[in-house]
Amino acid sequence: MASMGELQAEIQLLRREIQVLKDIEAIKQLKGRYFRSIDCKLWDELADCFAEDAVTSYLNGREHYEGRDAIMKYLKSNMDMPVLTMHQGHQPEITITGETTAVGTWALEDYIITLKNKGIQCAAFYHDEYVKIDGRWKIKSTGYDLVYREMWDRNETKSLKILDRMHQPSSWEGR
Amino acid sequence: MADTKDLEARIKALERKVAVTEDIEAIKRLKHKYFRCLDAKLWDELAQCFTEDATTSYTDGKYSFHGVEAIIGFLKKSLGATTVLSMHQGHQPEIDITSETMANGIWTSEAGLIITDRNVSTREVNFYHDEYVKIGGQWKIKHTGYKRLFEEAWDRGETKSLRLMANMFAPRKE
Repeated sequence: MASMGELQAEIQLLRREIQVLKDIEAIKQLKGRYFRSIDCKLWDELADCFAEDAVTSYLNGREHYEGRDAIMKYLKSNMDMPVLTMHQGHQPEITITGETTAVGTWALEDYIITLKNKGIQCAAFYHDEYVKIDGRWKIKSTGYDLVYREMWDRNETKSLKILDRMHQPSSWEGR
Repeated sequence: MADTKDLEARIKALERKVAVTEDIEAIKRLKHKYFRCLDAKLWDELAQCFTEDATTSYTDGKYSFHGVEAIIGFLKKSLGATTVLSMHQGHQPEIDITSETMANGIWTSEAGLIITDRNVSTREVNFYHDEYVKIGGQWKIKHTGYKRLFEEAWDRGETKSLRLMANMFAPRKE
């Protein structure tokens, strides 16, 4: 029969294993919130996903920004307008590297309808670092390498109509 | 002392439950790596996903191979050219852990190809049926294959305005 000391050690080990599983789930939810906040244009909620000193290397490192404020300025300059964006993160590979550090890769597919009715579609791989601050996981660094990006004029498909949209051009008028 | 014995049994049961949850996460991650390596053309890393004696039955068994070398050879031949850009996605995993070292999984996959030299695009939806085995603490693909729901192809030239703006495998300009 196991001694009380051995049982306590087993419980400690179990606690750590469960914590790792919870951290992986929390990081997946963080990335889910990041993509949702971009598409819904929830800038305060998006800013909350980043650590204060976060850095980015978007677009194969071409869009490099240091600090949450600089990152948010960049993201808003691209998307704080009635452009429709759909960002999906697939196939997370999350590694918990310490009690407060982790890294992850994601496959990105995005689809964008620009103000001039251009369609843009991308496939890319995100490489992220995460940090846990006061019990909450944040993005410490993020960036992606494109597999491909293509663009076309949606007006070419004569029958194509947008039937509903979250971001109405009228709501941006006069801003 | 009956209390200690009872506690020990409860801890053992909990350990098993945690191990099953860890295994499910590890298998999802394995399959995610498999798809990433296909699209990034990382053949050595992809080979690590398979057991030595792995088997496949891709495209309703049309592409059946035995052994990791034969499988990687086939995948390289299909997707290795820099003129083939692929995006594979695995969705909706149904993973069953059947023992401490064995598991099965079903995935819905959607894949799109751009074949740049022929200016053709394809799109396909498949259902993967996989078997996994844990060797030396690492989950590997023992068998994989899929049944096809549909595959479609079109001439990209028909959309006159369509342009490829970025390509990971484009020849580097010096």
